[in-house]
Amino acid sequence: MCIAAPAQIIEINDNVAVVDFGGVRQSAKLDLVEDVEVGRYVLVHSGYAIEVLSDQEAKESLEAWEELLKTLDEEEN
Amino acid sequence: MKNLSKKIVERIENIARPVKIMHVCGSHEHTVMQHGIRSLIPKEVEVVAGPGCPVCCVPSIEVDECLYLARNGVTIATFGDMLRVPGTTGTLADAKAEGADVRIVYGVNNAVEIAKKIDKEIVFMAAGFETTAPTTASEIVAGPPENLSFISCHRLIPPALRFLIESGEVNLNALIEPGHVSTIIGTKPYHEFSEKYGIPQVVAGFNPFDILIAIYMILKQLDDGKAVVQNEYKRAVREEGNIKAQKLMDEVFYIKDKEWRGFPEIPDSTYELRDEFSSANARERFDIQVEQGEKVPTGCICGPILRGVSRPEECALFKTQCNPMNPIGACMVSKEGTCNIAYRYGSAF
Ligand code: SF4
Ligand code: SF4
Repeated sequence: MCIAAPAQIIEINDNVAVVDFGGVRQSAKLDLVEDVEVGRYVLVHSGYAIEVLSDQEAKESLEAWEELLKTLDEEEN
Repeated sequence: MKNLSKKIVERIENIARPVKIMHVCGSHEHTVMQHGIRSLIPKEVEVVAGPGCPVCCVPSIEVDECLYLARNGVTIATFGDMLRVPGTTGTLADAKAEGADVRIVYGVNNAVEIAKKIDKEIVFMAAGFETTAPTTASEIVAGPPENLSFISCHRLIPPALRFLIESGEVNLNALIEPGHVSTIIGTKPYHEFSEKYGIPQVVAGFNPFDILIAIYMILKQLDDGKAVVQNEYKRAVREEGNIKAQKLMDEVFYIKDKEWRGFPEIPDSTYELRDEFSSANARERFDIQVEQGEKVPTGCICGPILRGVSRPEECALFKTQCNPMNPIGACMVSKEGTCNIAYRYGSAF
């Protein structure tokens, strides 16, 4: 039930933003986050932004997991 | 893609050992089943599902409270899955079929919008873990319309973990912590389980790679003789969590002992509205008459399933009488219920 997905802020009116989930636009309330502006990515849950993401973090990338795996491998030595 | 999962699985195989890893998240179970993760890793590495869905965990008595209101002329607004969760005298879907006004919403903000449009009493049945509780808190602080009040069914994950560990029933050796609950509460509340009980923990995201890496990180901790809290889901979880959300929850709620479906009373495990907000508390506003006591449908083993001791395949009603079209127990209702997921993705054994 607490599924949340990253979306980019397109527009802000008071405490409500229009956000874009890769093509699908919805509104998201901003009462639970700070320091948001148009263009930034947020994690949206049941109509509310619950966290601000860095642009890099918003994209799930294979490199990030590869990187993590590398760090774990290096710990061993 | 294949390459990466192969790489992780190889590492898992190298240090595999008999271990029971519990996750407490319906979305994790979904990923595990959809990608057949249990069949990718060695058999001795067991991944079990705990009380991962805040819909399944709402006990009958809280459904009964809403049924009482719905059958006495109050409009109920809640998340879609809640409509089919059984109370002792039926479900909210039954009440709706009888003529009660029950509305499905996607978030508490929709309940606020509905309240502004109608002039009768409306109650939002607020289900959800720490991920969802701040959304309710923010609307209560903002000052909801006069005709809107709340029944808090919000529940907290760490007290349920503490209960499961201390009961010893599941014998769990490690935990995969839920990503989006942790977005709000951060990683600190988990530390006591590593420190006091020597349980390795990894906060994980919802991609199959996240889960596989989390399993590897746990095995690696065991291999190194460590028990700490690690954060695999850094892209959405900060160590301190979302402080603004935490402050809002703290302002609005106090923490109370309460039963969960399948569990007895769990100490300090639910959020209830503070006295300052009693005018927005439906339990204060209305004289709700319900009888204490859980009535489990005959044959349903949701209780042990929610506690991580049984799997749906062990239930005699699974797939025969009980299916997503005709759910008998709560775990078959929600898309994040362990029985519902097992039905849709088949057995992992
Ligand atoms: S509500 Fe949160 S913890 Fe529960 S299943 Fe959904 S994502 Fe997982
Ligand atoms: S299969 Fe149905 S009856 Fe059996 S435990 Fe699951 S929800 Fe209950």
